[in-house]
Amino acid sequence: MEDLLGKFVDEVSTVMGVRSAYLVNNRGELLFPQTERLGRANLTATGALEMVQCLGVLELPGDEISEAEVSFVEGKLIVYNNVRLLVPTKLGVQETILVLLGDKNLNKAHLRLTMNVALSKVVSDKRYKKLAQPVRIRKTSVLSREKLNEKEYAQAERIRQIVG
Amino acid sequence: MSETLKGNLSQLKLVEIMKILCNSQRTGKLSLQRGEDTGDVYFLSGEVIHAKYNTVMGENAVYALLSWTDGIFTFLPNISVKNKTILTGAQDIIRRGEQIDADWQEIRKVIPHTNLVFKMSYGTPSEISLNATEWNILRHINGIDSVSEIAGKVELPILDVSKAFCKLFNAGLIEMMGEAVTREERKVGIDPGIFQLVEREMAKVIGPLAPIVMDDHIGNLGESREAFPKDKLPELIELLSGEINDPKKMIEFQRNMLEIIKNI
Repeated sequence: MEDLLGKFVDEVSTVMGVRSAYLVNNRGELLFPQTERLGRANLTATGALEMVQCLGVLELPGDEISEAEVSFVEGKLIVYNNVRLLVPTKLGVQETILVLLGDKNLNKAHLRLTMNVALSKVVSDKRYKKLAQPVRIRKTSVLSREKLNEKEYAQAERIRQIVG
Repeated sequence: MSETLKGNLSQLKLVEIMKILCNSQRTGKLSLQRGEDTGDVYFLSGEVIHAKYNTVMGENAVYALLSWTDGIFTFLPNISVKNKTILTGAQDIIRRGEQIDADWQEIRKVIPHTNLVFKMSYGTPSEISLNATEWNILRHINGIDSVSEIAGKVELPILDVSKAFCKLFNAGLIEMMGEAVTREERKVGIDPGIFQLVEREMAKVIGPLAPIVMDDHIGNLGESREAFPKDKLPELIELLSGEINDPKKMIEFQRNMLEIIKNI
């Protein structure tokens, strides 16, 4: 399976402007690629968790975010939440989101086309089809007291109260 | 009319021409031309007194011109200039010029010319420590801008930037992509033949309405077939994909279109 996921990540990375691509689970854990495959701009474990926490906050009202983009002076971070690529791990099959670090001039339409085609190759593979269904984990689960500081937790709780 | 000296820098290097003109105590203007780029170096009785290359003046203009490996040079004798932007002695400039020329020879083993484009490498780089300048250059490497364009962006001499490129390349951090396309080329619309290919693929899945649907979406993007920018093609393909109801056919269409995009 690793070669299949590797090809997917490599294919997405061929789009001009993509610096690196990652598969992150809904607990904010970086599942793929492994450290030695990382590109020039690295997504840290803390960064991955904080990003899923942001998505969790955005999803508190109940709607799912399909694509999110954060622009920085030196580039952008793009998250495709609707990829839902399954990654087998020691703890079972896990659903992931695609996280990309890219340049400011990254052509997102080109990226989405490449991603669609690459994804179709993975999901049509026999090995992938045999994977067990993952247990659905909501991203809001990372908004727990242990994973947030006091202030952040209080803010998340306030949002929870507002959205009911 | 005075006799002129004319030739190509690929035959006689600038530093060698300067040596000849300085040693023979010449007065006049040495004009250099490479495509649309021009530079001038003025001599007064064998001393280098003024130089101009684009917006750069003085000694730095001379050192920048030393990076040229080709281009036409013409020496027009007895032409003087009021500006005197260089106070350093000719022999010192030549000595420094020779050192710069030697540096360029080393650089050219890795970067044959400064119109090349580099991109970040996805391989595993060797361990390397970068100084602030190299880091600044690395930030600008985007697979589009050439070495000389990046030198302009970071406002550093082309020699220093090229040296940094060599270091990054040797460390496996960057890889060469090829010649840079000009800004004009980047803006040029896509070839009409590409539209025919897209239209043909689209017609396979949605039938004879394909040209009309295409024109609608081109219009929605605020463009025309005659001057459709290359970088908007993926966006158009996405819109056209939205017209295909069958997911399998849509992926097949996108796969074929990606091949076309890769080729242009």
